[in-house]
Amino acid sequence: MTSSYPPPSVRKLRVYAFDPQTASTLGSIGYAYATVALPWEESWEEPLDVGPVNEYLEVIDVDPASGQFYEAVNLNDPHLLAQDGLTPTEGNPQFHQQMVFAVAMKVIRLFERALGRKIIWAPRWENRRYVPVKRLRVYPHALREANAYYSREKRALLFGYFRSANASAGASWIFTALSHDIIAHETTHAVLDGLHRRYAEATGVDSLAFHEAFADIVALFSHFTLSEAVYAHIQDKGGALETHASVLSGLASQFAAGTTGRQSLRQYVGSAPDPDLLAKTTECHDRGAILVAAVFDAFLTIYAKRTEDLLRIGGVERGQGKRLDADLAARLTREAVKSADHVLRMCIRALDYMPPVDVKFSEFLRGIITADNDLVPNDTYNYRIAFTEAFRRRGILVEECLSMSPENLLWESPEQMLDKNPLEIDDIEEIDLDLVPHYSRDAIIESSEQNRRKVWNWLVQPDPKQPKIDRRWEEALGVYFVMPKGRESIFESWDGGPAVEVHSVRTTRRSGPDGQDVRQLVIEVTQRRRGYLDADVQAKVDAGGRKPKPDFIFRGGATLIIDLRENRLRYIMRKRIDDAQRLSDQRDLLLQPDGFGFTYLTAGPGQRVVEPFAMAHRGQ
Amino acid sequence: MKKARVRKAKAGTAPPTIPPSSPQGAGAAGGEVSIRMYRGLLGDFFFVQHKQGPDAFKMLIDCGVLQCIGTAAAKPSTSRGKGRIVAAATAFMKDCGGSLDLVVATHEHFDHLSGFIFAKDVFANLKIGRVWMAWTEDRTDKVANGYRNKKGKALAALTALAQNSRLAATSEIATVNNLLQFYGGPDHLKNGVALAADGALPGRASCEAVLEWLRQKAGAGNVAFLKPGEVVRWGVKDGFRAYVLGPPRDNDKLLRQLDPSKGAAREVYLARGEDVETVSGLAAIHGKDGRSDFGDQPFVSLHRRPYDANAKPGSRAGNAKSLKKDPVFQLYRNAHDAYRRIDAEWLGSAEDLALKIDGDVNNTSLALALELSDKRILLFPGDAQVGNWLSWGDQTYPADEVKDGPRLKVEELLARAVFYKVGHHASHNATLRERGLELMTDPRLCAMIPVVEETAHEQKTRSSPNGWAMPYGDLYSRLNERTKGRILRGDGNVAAEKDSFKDAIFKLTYESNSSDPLWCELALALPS
Repeated sequence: MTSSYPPPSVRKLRVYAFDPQTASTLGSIGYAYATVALPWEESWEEPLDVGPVNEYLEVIDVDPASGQFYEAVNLNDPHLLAQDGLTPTEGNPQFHQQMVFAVAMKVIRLFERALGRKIIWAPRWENRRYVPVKRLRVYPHALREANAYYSREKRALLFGYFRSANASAGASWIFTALSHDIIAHETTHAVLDGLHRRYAEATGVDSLAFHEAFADIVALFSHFTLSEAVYAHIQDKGGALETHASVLSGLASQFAAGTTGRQSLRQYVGSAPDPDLLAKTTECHDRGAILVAAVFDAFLTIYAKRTEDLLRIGGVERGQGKRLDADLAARLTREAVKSADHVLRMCIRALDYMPPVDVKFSEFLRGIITADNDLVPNDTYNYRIAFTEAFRRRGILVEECLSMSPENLLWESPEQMLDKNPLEIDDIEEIDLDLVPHYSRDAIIESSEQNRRKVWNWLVQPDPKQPKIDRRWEEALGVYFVMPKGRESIFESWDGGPAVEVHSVRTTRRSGPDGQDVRQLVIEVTQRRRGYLDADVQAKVDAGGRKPKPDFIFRGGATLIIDLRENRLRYIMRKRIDDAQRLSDQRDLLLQPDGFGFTYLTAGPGQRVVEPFAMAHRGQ
Repeated sequence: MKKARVRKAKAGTAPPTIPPSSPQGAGAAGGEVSIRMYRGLLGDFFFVQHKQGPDAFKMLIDCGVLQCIGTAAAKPSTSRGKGRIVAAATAFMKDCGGSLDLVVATHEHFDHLSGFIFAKDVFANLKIGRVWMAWTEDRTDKVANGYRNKKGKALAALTALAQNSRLAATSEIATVNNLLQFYGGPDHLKNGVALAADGALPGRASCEAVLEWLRQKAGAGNVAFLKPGEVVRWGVKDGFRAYVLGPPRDNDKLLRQLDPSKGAAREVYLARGEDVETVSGLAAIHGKDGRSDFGDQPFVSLHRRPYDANAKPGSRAGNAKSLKKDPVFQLYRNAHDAYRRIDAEWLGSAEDLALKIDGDVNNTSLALALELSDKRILLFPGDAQVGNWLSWGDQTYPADEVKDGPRLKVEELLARAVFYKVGHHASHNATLRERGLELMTDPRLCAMIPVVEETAHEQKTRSSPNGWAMPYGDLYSRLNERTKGRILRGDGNVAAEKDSFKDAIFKLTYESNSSDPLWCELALALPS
């Protein structure tokens, strides 16, 4: 489409703010609809096509369970452009397409803004190499069941629909593709998988739970971008957010009503912190809920802190139920929206400050604190204390740190880790990394792949003159470049040495509130080791014995953060490949009743793929 | 770790009081116990006898073979099973004299019960003294009826989907079909619990009907529905005890809700009501044969556009005309991205339900520890899977007949096991590791596996192109280590088996000198 007029800045699309249930309830009708404003596609991006299909997503509305292939919506039709897309309705599949597209794009943009770079989907392993996946597929009507998931296998979001079992859902058909929370949740799984491929592996009790928790965090906090709903709630509850369970603090209410008859799938207000609960909880959704509750507590503290003065000026006490002055309610709403935005961005930024494998909740907290400290050194509103306090009260402790005060939770600098900093990276300039910011995602994928190779060469090439330096790097990264005695279960590369993978190399550029400009290079290095359920076998293989087929894969590695302004290594987040405790923990987890090693089953080809990211687990 | 435990067992726990097997035989004061396995069957058929002086106690534990859905040409080994079990049943009737003291029916699966159907004429005049079944087969038990209704509804829905030939090519339905073999397939399933007017089994009887037939044969007063923790008696003059280990009664729901650490893995019966509803809904649309009419559509006809995943490209049958030129449709059918299509993904819920129901029924297995006069244990767990095994530790077992006397833990019982009937034909998921096999520390342990590997490998689907892994490699090699090779298989090599049993406490015999005898038997002389 060539046009003599300048392109508009945004494309507006109407959606259900929560789900169709809120739109059929008198109390919530005032904020049941929302309009998502997506940036108009840039000249270097693929134009939006029928589907919708764009640079990031391809919505394909095939419904094999009902034998249908619904016609795709054309959002460029003048009639739709003139009225912000189709009117929200359950009865038109084309609106469903519009809604999944709009909400998924909203989530993608949210991540891009916080991370300071473009989102890339997890590549596919094909013919012994990674092939980039340009667009995530979205199937709004893939299943006729109460379920939805991100399929890693198909690089697709699958949404289901079903007949409600309960009258309270207010509809006979319930579509997960019309639930804002479910779309946001599943899209986040896909984004996170693109950032950290290894987080989808059940390596520890926290790993899958973290995926679930993060998906919930994004869904929950995007509620607070809907200022009409927040305003109504604040007006209703006299300025308090923490006292009453509501549609804001719960997730997927219609889905829950239609399946179990409950108010929401998960509710994050009203559960008093219990520091002992975490140790007793292993199911991944339940465990993840504790992490989400901690983040939500931090948000409530921050909101309360930011609004103390406003309430004093207005002469009201929080939560009295007195009707607030409209101006005051509007100001409080702004603070709530802003707090939620800050909290969500803090969480997303932390993703770059985390180890590449086997993540733990406590490492997420350290990531949040360190990332925030880098970007916003001056913590005026004590956000970081709000976080540490909230995590501590939910039993998420950082055992390896001196205390739970924010300055102690910062990741160690290489100096702290290795006495004085022996790791020189001034030669990184010589390897000629492509650090020019690219705009098109194709160019970004291309350039990051090239950088990945260059960094691999730089890192893995031994320095024959200074073997000491290589040993120091091994120590810092927690991986080996030369096969170590007693750890010979590490996978070999073609030359017999231990295989090292440079998992990803990415550049970020972020701006802080006081004009800080942070430019960083984030490098992830990983290594694989054969894991055996029998510790004796493990010991034999490590000692150099015959190597039978491994029972599981054990991974180690590190994330490096390099400050590009001064070419300095800032942080190393490391998971050592030779960590005997971690190896034994992973083995114990697999020997739990739901791990495969509990019987005599070992993972291998021909095993059924169980979708790990389903709303409701239908597998074993 | 495991090595150390074996060594410890060798050094310490072997009870030295029990004399080695002696050639005294049945005439000795303590008598003799024998376990006979009918060979050549992917199914359980066990004849256990206790002879003491002039007396004999005869017990049958299950009698079945898996039968195939699919042609004899595609599954030759499977299709031989039927003839084989009729021959075995005929020989068995002769050997037991047409009358049994006790029949144990472990659970409602074809590979444990179908012999009664295929050889119904042979068994017509069988006399049965007593019958043991799990409490789950008690039709006056509300909890049991709840499970049974759910299972019945699920099987009906799965059968309907399996009968739609348009779906047959999907790997999901292939799995469903393979699992329906455990009920003899739709032909047997549809006949329900009813018997013929004269009380005989109908020709294509269901497993439920077999259980009913057994109950009627024994007579109401002679049927015991056993619950975990109970001790029952068997053998000549009821001389021996048997501990009922499972199936568990799932009554700790409340506890589970209160304490999340007890977690989902403690669920024994996994199929949820809502899963059954979902698949019933799918069956209502796609059940039976031919083109589904899709009466139950979510959208009004204005928005519909028929699509048929099976339609050949170019052919118009089933596909709306406008699809051909639709760019989104072309994107979907793009061959390079074929792996991303979802034409059968919706059937995943049916496949999962079939797997769950199969596991659930296996978990209703009556798991028995048969104790001998010298406290040694013969372990018959049926096809118990993880949940059933795990529950054995939920209760303790009375060590003797004294009221409020000492109690035994399941670990103590397993440590005394000298014989293990390997569960579920040695599949990967029916023998626990740390809380199962590794607890059977008696160095004299022997095992029988009622398996025909060739038959198991014939059950192929796209997702498991090699068929079922029975026996499962890792389990089999561990069993080999634990028993020092003393394993009898339904398809075992006779010469090799004889060799490996040279030093066993059991005496090994076969039905004949043929290379594929009808049965193998282990006999153990008991101390007086």
